[in-house]
Amino acid sequence: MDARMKFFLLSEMVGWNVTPELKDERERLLKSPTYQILKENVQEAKKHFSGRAKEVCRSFEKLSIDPKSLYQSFVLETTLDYLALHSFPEYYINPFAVDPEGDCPLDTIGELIVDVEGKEMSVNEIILDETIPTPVKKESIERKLDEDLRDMERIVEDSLKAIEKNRSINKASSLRAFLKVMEIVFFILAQVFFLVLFSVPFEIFFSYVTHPTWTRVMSYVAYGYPILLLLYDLAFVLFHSYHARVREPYEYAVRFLSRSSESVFESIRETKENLYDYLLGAINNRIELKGDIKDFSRLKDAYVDFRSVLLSEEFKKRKTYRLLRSFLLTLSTLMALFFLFSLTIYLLGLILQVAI
Amino acid sequence: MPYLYHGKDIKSLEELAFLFHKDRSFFYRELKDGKLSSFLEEKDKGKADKIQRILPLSYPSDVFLFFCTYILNPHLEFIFRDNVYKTYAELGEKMLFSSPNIDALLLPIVTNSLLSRHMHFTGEDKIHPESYKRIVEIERIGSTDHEKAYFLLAYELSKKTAILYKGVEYKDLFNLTYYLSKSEKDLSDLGNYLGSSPLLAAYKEYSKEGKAIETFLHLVESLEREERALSSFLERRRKGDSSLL
Repeated sequence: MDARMKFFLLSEMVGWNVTPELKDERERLLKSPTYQILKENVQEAKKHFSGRAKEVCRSFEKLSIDPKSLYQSFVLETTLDYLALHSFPEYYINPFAVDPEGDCPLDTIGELIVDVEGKEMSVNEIILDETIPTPVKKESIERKLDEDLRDMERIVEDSLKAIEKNRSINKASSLRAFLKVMEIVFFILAQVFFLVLFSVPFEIFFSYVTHPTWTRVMSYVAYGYPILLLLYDLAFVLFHSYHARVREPYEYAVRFLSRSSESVFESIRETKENLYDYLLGAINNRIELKGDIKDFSRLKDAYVDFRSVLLSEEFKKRKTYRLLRSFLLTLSTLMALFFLFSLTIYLLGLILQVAI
Repeated sequence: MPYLYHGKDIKSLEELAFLFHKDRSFFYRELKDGKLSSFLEEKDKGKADKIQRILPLSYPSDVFLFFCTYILNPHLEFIFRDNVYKTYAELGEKMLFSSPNIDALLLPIVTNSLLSRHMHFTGEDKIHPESYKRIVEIERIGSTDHEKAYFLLAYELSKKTAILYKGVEYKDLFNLTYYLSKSEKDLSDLGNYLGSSPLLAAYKEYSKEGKAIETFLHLVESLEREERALSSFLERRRKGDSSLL
């Protein structure tokens, strides 16, 4: 902030009109290094589940860089400085909520920032510091871990709420259920009709199978229907296999959490105690931490993949899913139309005993 | 036995006390070297003992003389260095005269809590207990922020509500900022000064624009704090990255 603006701010506060000084403020703020840092960091923060990461992203989305007074400009710039600082992973990464399979911008828990009696220090700095009394170090670390624990418990609670919400949606949406049933019914009908086509004795139809005449519609039914059915079956199987595979962790988590949510909370609290002991050991022995950022993650363990629960709808945005869904929808539509067409032609031919 | 000063007989402690400010270095030496002790003991052993007790303490000379003056004569007006202030308001105005700077010669009044001591010596603390309480509170602020305490004391004593800046009195900040915008070349320097000005911090308590000043100071302080925190972190991060190379 240009120091001249402080003078103009005072002038504004005591009643002077300083509007001319405002004209470049918006552009200055948007081009400032602070805003650029924040904008870049938020892209990384969006990938993380911790409450602090979400708070930074939410605050960034709500920012409106359009100050109408110097007062607003000062408040905005202060907010930008604060958010930019807290948009660094050292501030928002929760060691319990790190994705064990994803890339983490930090290497070690030692890089995380902790407040020690009003001063911000990294965990490694606290460990190696010789002036801070050990009880103060322990108390600061414990406070930070308690916050991270509460954050992780919130993630578990959000997962439970997401499950509950999905259940309610599924129960409440009778149209959705009806469509699902219709999809399965149609699939079965399409297979049955295929069997009927080639098992019911209808000489006229079979003659077009062995000797197709392309001026007759029945030839198209005889060849077109099986080919289209094959493609439709392929799309159906591919889509539903993929869907089941990506939903499997979610479905497992749903079943597990519904039965054993209390044990999950207990287990997370135990992890917090383990991490505290680990850090205490490092403090007592002055050992700098390295390469351990994922060692205490509980986001995805042997029992529950919280990530998949919270992102249960995210897989629908994946390219493969969208491609397979489009493929299935297209073929379902074609299949449905051709089914009706084929059924009509076949029944007419069968009833009237004519070649169509 | 009288005490002889420049050929004049000084017969009483009260008369002697009033002379201290007129020849400070001389009387400081006289007291420190014990040349006045027999005269003091003869006149009033109790007061002589009190002076003996503060002799070994490492007060600056003006502060030591101040205490000796009021030990010997607690009824005098406020005297510090070579100035006699008939009223506290006069002292306050003198303190404000150098605004926005602090008069370094008067600063010891704040840092050594001399005003509350004077009020105690003269019995003013019992006559005006609320004023005394306020003065003590200001002096307590002086232990951590002597510049702000200096201006608080100046305004408290002078009862002024205008702001003084480089010898000129302005009715309010509205007028001051107008004048400054016309006359000051370097508004950056001025902006930086005003953002952390002890004069403004003190003035806000006596001005009708107090809320505006408080908001201004708070905004500037918050912005500077966040800027410092961010730069400090970026610097540490940069050093941390370099150390990995």
